[in-house]
Amino acid sequence: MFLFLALLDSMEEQEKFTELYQHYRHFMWYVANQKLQDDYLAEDAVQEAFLALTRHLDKVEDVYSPRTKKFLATIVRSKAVDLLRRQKPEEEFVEYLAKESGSADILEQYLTKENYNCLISCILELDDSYRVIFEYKYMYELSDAQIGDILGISAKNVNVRYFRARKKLQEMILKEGDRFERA
Amino acid sequence: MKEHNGFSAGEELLSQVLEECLEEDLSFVPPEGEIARGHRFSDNFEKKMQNIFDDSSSHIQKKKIQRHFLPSYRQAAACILVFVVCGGLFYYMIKDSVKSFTSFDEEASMEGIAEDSSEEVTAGAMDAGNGLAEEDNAAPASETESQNEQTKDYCGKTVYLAKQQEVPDMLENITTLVNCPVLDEENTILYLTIGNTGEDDFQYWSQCELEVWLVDGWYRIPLEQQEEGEWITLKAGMAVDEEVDLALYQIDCSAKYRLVTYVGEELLGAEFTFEETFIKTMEELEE
Repeated sequence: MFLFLALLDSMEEQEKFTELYQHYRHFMWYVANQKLQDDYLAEDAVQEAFLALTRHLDKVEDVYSPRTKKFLATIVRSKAVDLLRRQKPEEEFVEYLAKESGSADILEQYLTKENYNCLISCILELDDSYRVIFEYKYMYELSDAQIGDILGISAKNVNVRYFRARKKLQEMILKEGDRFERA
Repeated sequence: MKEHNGFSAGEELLSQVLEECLEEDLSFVPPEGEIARGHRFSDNFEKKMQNIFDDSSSHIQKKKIQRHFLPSYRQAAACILVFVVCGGLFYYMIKDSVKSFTSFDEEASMEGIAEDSSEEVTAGAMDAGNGLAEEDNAAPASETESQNEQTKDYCGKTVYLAKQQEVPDMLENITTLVNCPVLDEENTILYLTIGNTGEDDFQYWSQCELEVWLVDGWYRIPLEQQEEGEWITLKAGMAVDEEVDLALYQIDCSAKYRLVTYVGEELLGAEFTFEETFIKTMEELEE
């Protein structure tokens, strides 16, 4: 009986996977290409996104829901970021050194309704490598281990990236706040 | 302040902002069809995706099997429930069958008609189990009584001694006739035409039996594949052709045969030889 249930489930998931591929592959390619500006690299990003998706199909409830579309967009963007990183590893290292010195994490203080518009503009400007971590964590409520599995990094590294993302956003809000005040 | 999903109010707000920003970003993405018109995936991509499809099916299956084999109390409880319900149903079915079996046996011995008790009891038990004891739907008696029949070898098959009664080709208002358009190796269909010339409807058994004359009597030739028959009503003034496919039998064309069916409890049939049938057909064709 267990085996029978397992087969049924796997068949359902295979169908779901096929539907996702048929329905969203061009959309995902477009999203990746916006970031990469390279048709073939964008195809690689799509392929890697689908590969990661095979392990996380249970996160997809309704193939055609807007939430699923957003989830796929996040996955393919994170894969595009990965591909860019692989192409320019030295830039990441420089960025890493530059960002390590910084202030304490007081982001929570800035996450208020009064700062809503400021937050919107900061998130839109925030680098995708950070933004996708936030999306995985806050929109899809994935654990560090799950995010790490999709991104192909350890849970610890996810946590490091997450705190870097918080600091980056905090800095951006501070800057943006100053700009608003001056204006 | 922590919310129900473990997020603080600030984090909830951040989640809302992220969602809004992503929606705004995606609002610039053209529809799938439009993108598809402008871009065709490379063969390399298609190949790689095919590999992922192949791998994913095995991966998904493996993952699911692992997951389902992990202890899950809900699944275990569901399985136990299913087994208990099935077991209960099975128990009551068996119990009912045994009851019917016993009562039928008692009745049979009381009436003193238990000559073939073992067969009848079995049939009774089966009927009770299936709830199909109506006489109307019962098959003709000859089918259930066949086990004790005398047998002979014919064309490499065992044939069973049939009822030796004279089988008339006419019963008051019912006539039977065997015919076939052309009988050869390629056309093996034979027709038993049953006609109702009377004013009342009657019922006949749809599965005709082919019998062969072997020295001392008529023997029933068993079908290669047993089919289920049924009682069919033939209305007054109507005739019907029952098809008999000789390819389903092992036969020798030189012997004498008869096709037999049941009309109510009466046997009705038509004798024939292949030679006669063939000559008749030829004559008809010449006319």
